[in-house]
Amino acid sequence: MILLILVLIGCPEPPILIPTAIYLVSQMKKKGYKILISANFSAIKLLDIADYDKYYLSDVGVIDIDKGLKIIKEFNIEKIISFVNKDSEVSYTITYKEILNVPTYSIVFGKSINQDFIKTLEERDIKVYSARAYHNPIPVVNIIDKLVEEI
Amino acid sequence: MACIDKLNYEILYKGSFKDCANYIRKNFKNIVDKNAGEEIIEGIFLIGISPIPVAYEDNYIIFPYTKPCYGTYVIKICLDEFKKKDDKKGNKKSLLELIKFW
Repeated sequence: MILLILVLIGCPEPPILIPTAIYLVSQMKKKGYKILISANFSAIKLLDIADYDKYYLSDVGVIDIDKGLKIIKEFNIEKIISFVNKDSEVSYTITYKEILNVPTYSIVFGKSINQDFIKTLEERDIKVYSARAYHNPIPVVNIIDKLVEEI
Repeated sequence: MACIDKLNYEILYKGSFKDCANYIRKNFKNIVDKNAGEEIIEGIFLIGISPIPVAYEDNYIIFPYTKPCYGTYVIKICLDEFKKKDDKKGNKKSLLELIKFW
């Protein structure tokens, strides 16, 4: 049975989101995990172009974040990792966790850290890693390293 | 997911998910609590924090609708719209058509 890590990506507006998502996928693949990305339509297109020759994203599955809600149970998802910058991403993370009922980790980031997002996620038993970052990816890269080590 | 743009809907409120859920609870009577991820009508899934309030009024359904980039809205849709959509069923895609591998 192949166990998958589901990576949730919502709105790709923050400049650091796509590069750090590719970094996360790359690090998880090095640990031997198979990755399924469930993302917003534009985020999928940005990922596709950012790694056009699929150096990092080869063998990675990808599905639309809304269509995924219907079929995600068909996959053996072991864990969920989500990027959270907006309220809608808190909602998607909690919804996917409720559907799959698997350990879930959220990377909460932004120009400022919204404590309400962290509280809401933690109330739902979601482990939160937070970093104040929007243009400079390094704070998020550092928490991804920590997350990958702990997961 | 069904494209909401193809339906006649009315936006009643825009805010965070919690604000939208509160708006529904404060402004409607006939409310049913549903779970996140539930498909309330063909192709439309509830996204948010359970219990999610869904209001039924006359021939309308009122619920919080979330899009990744735009946030959450309280929308009102006539149930007849969904009956029309149900008539057009039979176009289901298989699992492998929905997912692609790079």
